Amino acid sequence: MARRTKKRSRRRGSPEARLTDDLVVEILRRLPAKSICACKCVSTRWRGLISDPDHRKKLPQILTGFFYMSVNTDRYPVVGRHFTNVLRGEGPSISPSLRFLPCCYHRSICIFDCCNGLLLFRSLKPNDPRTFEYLVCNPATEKWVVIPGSTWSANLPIACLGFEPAVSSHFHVFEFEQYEDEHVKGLQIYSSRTGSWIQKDSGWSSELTICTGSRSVFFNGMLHLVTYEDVVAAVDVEAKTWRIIPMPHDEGYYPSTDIDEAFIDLSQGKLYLATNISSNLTIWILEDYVSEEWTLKHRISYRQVFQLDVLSSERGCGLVSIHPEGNAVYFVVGDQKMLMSYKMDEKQSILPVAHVLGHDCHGPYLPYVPNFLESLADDQ
Amino acid sequence: MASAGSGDEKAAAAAMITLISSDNEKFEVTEATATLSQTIRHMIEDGCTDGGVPLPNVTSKILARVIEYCKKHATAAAGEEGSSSSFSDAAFLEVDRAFLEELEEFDDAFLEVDRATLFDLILAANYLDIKGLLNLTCQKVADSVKGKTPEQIREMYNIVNDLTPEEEAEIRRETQWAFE
Repeated sequence: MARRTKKRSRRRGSPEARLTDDLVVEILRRLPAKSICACKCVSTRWRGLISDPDHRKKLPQILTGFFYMSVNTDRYPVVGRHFTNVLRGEGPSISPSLRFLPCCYHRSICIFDCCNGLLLFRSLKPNDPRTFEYLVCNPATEKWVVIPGSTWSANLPIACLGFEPAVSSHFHVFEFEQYEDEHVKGLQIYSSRTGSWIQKDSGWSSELTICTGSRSVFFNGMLHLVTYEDVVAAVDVEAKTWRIIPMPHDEGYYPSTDIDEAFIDLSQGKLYLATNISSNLTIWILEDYVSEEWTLKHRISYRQVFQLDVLSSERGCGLVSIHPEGNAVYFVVGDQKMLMSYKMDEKQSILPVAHVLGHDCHGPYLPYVPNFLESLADDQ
Repeated sequence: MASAGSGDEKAAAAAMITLISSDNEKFEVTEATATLSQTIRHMIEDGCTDGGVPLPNVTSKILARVIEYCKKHATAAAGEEGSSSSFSDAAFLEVDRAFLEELEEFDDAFLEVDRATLFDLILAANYLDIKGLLNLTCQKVADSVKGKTPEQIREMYNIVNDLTPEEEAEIRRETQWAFE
């Protein structure tokens, strides 16, 4: 691959032509993902260098697509795992079947979370179908590890993954236990560093209910969750720091109206919050994490954007991701679940970015950015 | 900081290395300066620097600049070693901070060169394996590319667009979000 691209570049008296491929890559890898995309359009040489699988591992990674599940009783297996690519064939090819896993896991595992290139699955133990265990795998490197279940690991609905490759190659699995009224009772956290679970009672200062089906966001060493009490709840990997960040209320715009739905995501190192109030989506950025100050970024009316008459958010459309680099948001729209993108800066362009996902699929739609970190939880 | 540990400096000053550029110009440098280059460090370790080190890939113009960088940063490295072994009281920290600022200013001024020279410096830093210099120069090019359109990048570095309009349109479609 490298040889082919080298042949193509000819000396044209440009200083760039004198640089070896490795040196051009050395420059490219210092660029943000967005600039890398612009660089692909510069010449066949640059396009070749950026597309080369060996080089691509060194370059900043971009959003490749979404993992999601489907349930269809007319089909076997009833539960399906899927991946939809938003780069139209670019990026590493990802197969949702994850054939690199041992075959005893092929059918029985459900995706729970995806965090910085790692996936979290829960599965029944192959030789003991009454016990649950977790799998953490990296589809880009095809590495995986099995984690013993916690002392709970029954059918708890919420399990999240915390992984920050820039900070540590270790990951954490968070499992929440609820009271019958669904308030959080406590949590257990698995650390790949210690190889064991710790258990703590909820340390949040008020009773909180985590929204099922909403995504968690892990950054700054803390897991962030959306709750029905209109706050973002956060807890660190040792369950020592517990935070409650109130969601902003757009008083001037929607006085005394309840938030119908809330969604969090991480973009450009900052926490983003999207609130849906009466079919109007408002996007906020937590500019200052310490002072908990939210800045209004954008307002979208679902009615305007999607020209839908019926706007119950559960049926009509749902926000699934805020692009980690660009100013775009992704929605799944309509009964047939069409994945679409909307650019906040242009305010109108709404484009299908992938094929129709199908009526039987359901969230969470987990955005996937590959990570080529070779080791999975090695010692530091 | 340079005044600290004068004994060590004398010892380092005693060992001089001669570097010979592609156009046969000779440069006398201290071993401390020369060994910022891993390539030359290995040559010294292998004991093959007698009679000078020929550097057929580096012109005298570029070598002079590279040596200027190494001299400055060799003093910085010596300064760091000095301060870590002594008490890091406020005065020392103040001196360190001032020195780091000075080094940063030096680097900024050092990079004020035309594009051809910048690329020559990258090639020399790569050939001589001087990590700091390679970092600095590649970052400078990356900073100049950041946020630019493909057209601007081509113009800046005199790169001929050999993509067909169809190929270019295809790339833009794939990564549309990057071109807003």
